[in-house]
Amino acid sequence: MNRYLIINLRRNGDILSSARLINSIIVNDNKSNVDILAYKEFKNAAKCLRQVDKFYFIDRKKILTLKKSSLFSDGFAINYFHKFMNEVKKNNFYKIINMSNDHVSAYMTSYLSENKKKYHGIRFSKNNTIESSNQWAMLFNEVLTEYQHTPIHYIDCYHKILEIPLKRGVKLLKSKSDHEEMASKNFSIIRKNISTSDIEKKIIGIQLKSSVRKKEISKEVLIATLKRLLESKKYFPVILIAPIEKERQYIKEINAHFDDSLVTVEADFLAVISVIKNLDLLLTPDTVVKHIADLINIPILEISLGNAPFLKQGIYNTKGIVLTDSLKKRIFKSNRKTSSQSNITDRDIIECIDYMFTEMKANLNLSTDVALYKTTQDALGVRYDLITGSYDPALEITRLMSRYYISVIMDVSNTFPREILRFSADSINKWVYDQKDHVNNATRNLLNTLRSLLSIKENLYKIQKFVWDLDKLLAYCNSSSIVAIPTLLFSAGIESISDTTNIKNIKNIERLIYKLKEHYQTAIICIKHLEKNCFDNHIKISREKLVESRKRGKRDGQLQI
Amino acid sequence: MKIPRISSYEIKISKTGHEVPVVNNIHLHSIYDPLKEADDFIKKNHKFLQNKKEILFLGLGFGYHIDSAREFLNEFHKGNYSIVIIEPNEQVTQDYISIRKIKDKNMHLYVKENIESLYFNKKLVSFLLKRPSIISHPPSFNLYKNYFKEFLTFKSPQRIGDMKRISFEKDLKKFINELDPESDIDSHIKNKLIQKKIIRNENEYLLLALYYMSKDSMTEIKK
Repeated sequence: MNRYLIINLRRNGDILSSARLINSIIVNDNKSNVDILAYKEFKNAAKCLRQVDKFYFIDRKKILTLKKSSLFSDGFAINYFHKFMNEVKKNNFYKIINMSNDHVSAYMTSYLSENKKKYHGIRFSKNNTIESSNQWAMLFNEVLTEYQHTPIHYIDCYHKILEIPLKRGVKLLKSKSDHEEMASKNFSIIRKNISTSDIEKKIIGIQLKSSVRKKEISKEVLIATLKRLLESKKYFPVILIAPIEKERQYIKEINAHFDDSLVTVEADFLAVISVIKNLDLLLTPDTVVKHIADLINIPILEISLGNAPFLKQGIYNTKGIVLTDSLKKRIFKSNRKTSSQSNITDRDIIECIDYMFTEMKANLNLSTDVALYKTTQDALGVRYDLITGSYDPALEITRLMSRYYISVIMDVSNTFPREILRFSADSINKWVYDQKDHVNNATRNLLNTLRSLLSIKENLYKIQKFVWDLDKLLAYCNSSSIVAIPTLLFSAGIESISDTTNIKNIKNIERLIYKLKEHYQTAIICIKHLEKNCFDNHIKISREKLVESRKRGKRDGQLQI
Repeated sequence: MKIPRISSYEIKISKTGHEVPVVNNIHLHSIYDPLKEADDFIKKNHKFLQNKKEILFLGLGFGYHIDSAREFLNEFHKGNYSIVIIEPNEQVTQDYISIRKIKDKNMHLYVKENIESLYFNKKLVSFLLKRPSIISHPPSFNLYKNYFKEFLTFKSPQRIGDMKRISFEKDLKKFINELDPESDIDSHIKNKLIQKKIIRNENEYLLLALYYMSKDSMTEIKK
């Protein structure tokens, strides 16, 4: 048996999301067992994963108490941690997968994988520099964390890191039969009570709270949405809460606006799985409940607010849509301040719910600075396409082109995203012009850097100029254009150089610069693809319009020569 | 910290016929009705006994308050409890054991222990990590005030050399012994490991992981 270890030191939602990767591993390798290493405080979520063979839960609270409290010697923390890791290490793992991407998991991965090449993701090398198992791991660590509008879903990236195709599974999460029975029975009663002879009302589950306040739907919008749902003849809301006092208190406050008539379901992780299965739709911010619904393929309307990393970890199944403030106004990084005011209204939410059941886009008339996205699939995995709403064409084109560009440099066969052609020719042409400018400027900086690097070979004292030029080149890491992608990868390469001699270091940097040059040239090729496609499309549309106008002309009795 | 000099010690009999130790003329229990006094004392502390099943008592005396606590804990927590008693006076403890003859597998006594060695006792440390309710026996606490205060405000030495009192596994012991005994772990990690270009021992990865864990770091490495 091949035993895989997934190190996932992140929170509940991230742990549950690993279900897809676990399923893919098992389906692709039928002699595999998959174990999980997680923090004990997230045990309840981890235990919902159906296909995990063994769990290793590290008591972080205990370690932190031992380490931080002045009462205890640090030796106890070291001793406990060492004992725990040694127990884990006793299993001769076939592969170790670092799914967390932080310092702790990377060092753990180094400890567990030693000299062997049996790790996936990132770890620290013997030179204490970041080591990536493949280009995708580097892309994940360098680009997905830094690039403003993540072009790839992190689940897809992990599959590429592991070099396995995603396999869709049916039963990814555990559930208890008595929970299933009770939930089914209760929801049957609800359906019976709410439906009339003409209309079968849809049950809309509403996840009330999120782990982070900024990600929550505001109380005012929630109350207004509930009012609309109750007034409508088509829908019936059911509130979902966790069995904690804070949430019970909150629903009490909300319920006071409805004479305590709201139907509320209180359920822990395991029970909520059975509850969600009975919903027609889940309305939720970015929460662990969203991930659960996503994994069991329940239709979801995700309200993406605050720092919620919609593009990186949004809903994955194709039965979902994401309502968000305009991407231009959003900041996805959790350590940055966001504006607390969202433009999403109750009316927007109801219109999106209508859309989910009718798919009539024409009826969607969202508020200013609000947009709606749907999940689609391409060769790289899940992609978020704009349905309607407020958008910045340059941003949308950059998103889609970044994705296409990555598939080209990572050698993934992916067709050109014709989705881009829905934007106006003017927008596309402007984008092309701007991007070419960015790439050309970056290339100029690259050549300056190369020249100053080569001059060091002759005279080591010219290093100052090289550093200055390199600094200017690395500034493109922060660019909002696609040139940031290869520059971020280049930057990672520079940081991992650890040779002891100047000559070797110079050689390595030179190699990296040539690689970057190649990537910049690829960027130009991709931009030209877009240019050509846009031109061809424009010709095609013009021809179609001409044919149409000729047909109209004939019908009008005009003679066409 | 030394225990205060014991200038006088005797055992008196209360009005209810119970033995009461008197140390330096301080009665450690009521000379009238030590059992009622103990019951009343424990009743005042019911909240702490309900909230936790791990209880740390500072001061043993002749254990009447402990008995009352045990009775309550047995009922409330259905026998699933753990009591640890810290008592600096060896003589009183020996008399307690021989006179009272109490045996309870859920009770553990630490007698006349050096404070530092208490905090290097693995079993006690495990118990303290469960964040027990702490109940001071007032007469004992007042009598040995400095000892108990030192216990409550103890600052463990963090020299690597002091860690030798902990029973590490073989490979970890060897690793720790090779480090500078005068340094502390955090300084070693910051000055030697983080700046270091070569990891020579796999345990260094663990130290680094521990260092970042203690910074509550869940953010991705690039950030």
